Order: sequence, then structure tokens, then C-alpha cells
Amino acid sequence: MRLFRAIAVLMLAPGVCLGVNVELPEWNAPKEASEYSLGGGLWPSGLIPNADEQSKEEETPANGEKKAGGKLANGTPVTGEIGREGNSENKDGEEIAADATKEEELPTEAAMPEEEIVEVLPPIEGRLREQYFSLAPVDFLLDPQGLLTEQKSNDLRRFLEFHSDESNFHIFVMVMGDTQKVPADISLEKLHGNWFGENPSVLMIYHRERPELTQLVYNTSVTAAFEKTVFDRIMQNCLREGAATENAPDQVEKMAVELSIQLYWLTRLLERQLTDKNTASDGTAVAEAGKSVSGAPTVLREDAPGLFPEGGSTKWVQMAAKSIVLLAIVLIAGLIGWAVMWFWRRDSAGGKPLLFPDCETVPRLGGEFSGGGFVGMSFEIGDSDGRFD
Amino acid sequence: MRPVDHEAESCYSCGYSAIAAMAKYGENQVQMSRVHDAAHCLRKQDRDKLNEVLDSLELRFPQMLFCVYLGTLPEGLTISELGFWLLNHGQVKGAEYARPNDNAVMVIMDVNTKQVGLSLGYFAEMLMNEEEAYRVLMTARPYLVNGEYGSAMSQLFKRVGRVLSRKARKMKKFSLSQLQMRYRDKEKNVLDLPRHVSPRIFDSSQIERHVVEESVVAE
Repeated sequence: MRLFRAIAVLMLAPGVCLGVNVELPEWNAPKEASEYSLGGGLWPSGLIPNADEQSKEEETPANGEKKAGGKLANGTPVTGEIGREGNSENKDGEEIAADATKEEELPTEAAMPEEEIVEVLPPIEGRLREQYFSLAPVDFLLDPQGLLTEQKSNDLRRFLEFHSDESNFHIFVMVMGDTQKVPADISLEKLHGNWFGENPSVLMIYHRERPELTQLVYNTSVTAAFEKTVFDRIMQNCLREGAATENAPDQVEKMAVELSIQLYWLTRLLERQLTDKNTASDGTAVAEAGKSVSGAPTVLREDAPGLFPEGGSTKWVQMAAKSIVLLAIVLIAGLIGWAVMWFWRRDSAGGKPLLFPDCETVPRLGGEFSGGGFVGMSFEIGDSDGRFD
Repeated sequence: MRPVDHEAESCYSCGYSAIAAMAKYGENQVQMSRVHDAAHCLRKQDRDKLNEVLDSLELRFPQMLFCVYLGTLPEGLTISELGFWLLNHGQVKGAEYARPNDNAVMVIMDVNTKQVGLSLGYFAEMLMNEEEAYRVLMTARPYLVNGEYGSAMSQLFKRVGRVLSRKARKMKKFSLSQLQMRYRDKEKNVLDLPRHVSPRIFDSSQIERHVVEESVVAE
């Protein structure tokens, strides 16, 4: 009987439970979410354009379950918890859903077609050519096309002025487009000579975003005074600095800074050559002196090793040659020492036994073994020689 | 060393001979050690050092005899006479047969008269001439003047070793016959007299006769 009751209770219990209405929590009404403003309370609601329209759109019925389980445009699933972290004003998951739907409507970056803006620059002709090459530059930065940003141009101009104040070797930077070229009929060396004469200056022609096309034009006297490798190394250093960034204004700025540093050492080298020239009695030409002292600027090489190229292979060869010479000297010294020692010790008592050939001897004075062969000496202090026989 | 003809029985100028020496020093044989320090002027370390030098020399020159006599000679005795007599009448211990006395290089020093000398046997005379012997003595002179007899003897014998080594190097260039020829040319008979066939053998009667003659001359 008891068993029958228990089975009956178990069978009736689910039906009783289904018949009872249990109060479950509900989502808040969507009216509260419409009052949300995008400014986060910092700005008045009218300041943000379309904020009202967006809020109206948000008033449209939104299913909390659907929004809470929605995804962002990039596919990231959005939950209520994540939404609260992303938006501090959220109270429930409804706002999150609203944002998610909004982002779904906006075009994503990946979806946007990438259009490369190719600025076609005109060739340097006519008026542009006159702007570049007609007159000697008054400013250290020559950018008639405005290829650099205004701020960077000002920065670069100030730097070049500062450099000109500190150094006698001035830098003039000419900025051109990446597709533009110096007209073929213009000789930069000649132009440099016409513009600057003997004043030490460098004309740097920079092509936008193409540092490898950069040209450095020096005075003829300066190029004649040093080896080509010096200028090659300066160019390499500048290009290395320019290649550190892809932004054109940064490139030209970095290259100018590097060029300024390199010119500092070049100036010191020039000063040294001038002093050498003054002290030299024969009065050789500067150029010849400069070439002849290719090994002379030892001090400067120590100060600015980057300015003076030293081939790795030749350096190793020199080191190997020095080592070989040193080893040869040591060997020769050892051989000489050994020869001296051998010569000195060959008659010493420590050598091999020596046998004299037997010779017939003739006695005298009746002596059987000795005939009175005798050499004597006195070692009395007063007797200087003391020899007696 | 006075010039004496190789076959002369006595010195032409003074009449000295082995007979005279025997009359003065005796005709007996004496035995002496390699380093005979009759004057007791060598310290033990000096003696040891000198023995080391002599050992090395004997190893280097197996035919040669090196010995030292340091003594205080009475008046009337000279170191040249003593050297002559010792080489002919002395026997160095341990070198009886291997190193005959005619291969000897004997240093004799008289502390009283401060004289030092080199007595050479017949064979040693061939290897070392007068100048070389004198340079050998001069090597030791500074030490002798300072009374450093041990060092003096060591330096002296080292120098002797150098001289003999140099001589040996030179003699290697010649054959035995060439050497004999050179020696004969060197000892050429000035008086053009025949050589002795063998060394003279003295008897006591000769010595006694010589003593009598000397006493007569003295009287």
C-alpha cells in the first residue's frame, strides 16, 4: 500500500508543478534605453549629429535575447558582460545590442575598397623649373610644390638654419616628387658652382619617399680634396637614416640630420688639411695634399670611424699580414738567439766528447811526459802584467 | 818558456834538465789528487765547484788530464820547475792509464809568491800555445787578486775547455797525416839534428854525476 502511494505521488508531482505560475525576472522596458546619449553625458545631446535619430531608431522594438546574443561587425560575439565593459553607461544588454546593430550597418574597413591616391606631379618644366633652378636659393629648404607638411617643413627649416649657424658647411635641401627628375640639361655641379661658388655647401636633392634617388652635390674643391670613398660613405649613412622610415617628411629630416653630422667631421678634416697646408713649406695644392694624406687623418678616423670606409676584407688582410710579420720577427729573433747560444756554447764543456787524434810527440830536456812547457803569471797587485815564462 | 831544441837534454842557456829537477825534487814518483790543495786555500764549496768543472771537462775531453796543485813553495823552488817535475814524476789518482801525463794540463799556484802557471804535457802543448795559455791565466787573474782561488780555478779550467774545443774543431778539418805534418813543421829541428828515437831513460849514476857537477860549479 505504501509503495502504491509513493508511486502515485511521483506521477502526480510534475502535473502539479506545471500548473503553478512561478514569477520569473524580466528585462526592463525599452523606454529607458532610448534616453541614452552617445556623448556619455559629457556633451549636450544636440552636439552630436544624428544622435536623436539614432536614439529613435534604437527605440524600435529590440529583442533583448536577440541583441544580447548578437555579433559585432567584425564577427566578435557580444555578450552582456562584454557590452558592459565596453560601454560604461550600459545598464542592461539592450544598449549593447543597439551598438552592435549600429556597427553592423557601418561599412567595415576590410569591406571598404582601398584606393591608392596617386598624386601625379607634373614634370619640372616651365614655371616649376624656374622655381627650382632659376635663382640661388635664399632659404635652406626649397620645396616650391609643398611636398612636405607645413609643420615638418618648418622643423626642417629651423634645423637647417641652426646647422648653418653652427657650421660653415651649409646644407640646402631641394624636395622633388618621386616621379620628377632634374632636367637633363641642368648640371647640378655647375649649378652648385654658380649658386654657391667656393662657399662650402651641400645641395641635397631629395625625391619624396624615394631616398635612394637622393643626390648630394658638393663644392668642386671639396670633392677634389678627398677621396670618393669619403663621400660614398656619407651618402650611405644618409641613405641608411632615410631608409629607417617610410614617411617622406621624416625621411628628409633624418637624412638632413645625418648629413649635418657627417659634415661636421668633414669640416674638421678640411681644417686639418688647411693647417697641414700652412705648415707645409713646399706649398702643395690642397687637393694633392688631401689625396696624399688619405692615410693621414688618423685622428679623424679615430673620431669618426663611420666617415672613413675600411673594407672588412682589407682589414682582415692587414691584420693577417701584421700577424705574419710579427710571427716572422719572433721566429727570426728566436733563430738568431738560438744561433748565438749555439755559437757561444759550442766550445763550452757541456757538449759532446771530443777526441783528439794521437800524434807522435818528441821529448825534450829528458822529460818523459813534459818538456817543461810552462806559462806563468803573477797575480801580485803591484804587478800589472805579471807574465813570466 | 825559453826556446829549447826538442832533442836537447838540457837548456842551452841555463843547463836545466830533468836530471837537475830530479836532483832538486827527488827522483821518486809521487801520487797526487786531481785537486791537490797543499796550501789549504780552497773551501769545500770551492773544491766541489771545481770538481764539477773538472768532471765536465773530463767528459768532454776523455783523453785529457786536468789537475791542480796549490801550494806554498819554500824559497828556492819555482813553480815552473815544480810543474816540470810533477808532470814527469807525479801520478794523478784515477787517471793512470786513461789519461797519461803528456796529455795533462796542470795548474800550479804558489800562494807565497802569488804566482800561477800552466804546465803542459807534450800532447797538451800541441793543443794550446803560449798565447792561449796566457789568456787562460788572465781570465783567472781578477779572482786570484781577490783571493777567490776556487772561482779562479773554475774560470781558468772553463777557459781551457773553450780553447781545447776550438782546437778540436780546427783539427777535425785535417787528417791525421796532415796533423803530423803540421806538428813536425812546427817542431822542426832548428839545429838540423836527428831526432831521439825514444825518450831517454835516466839512471841514478847520471843524476849523481849531475849533482856533483852542480856542486863543483857552485863552489
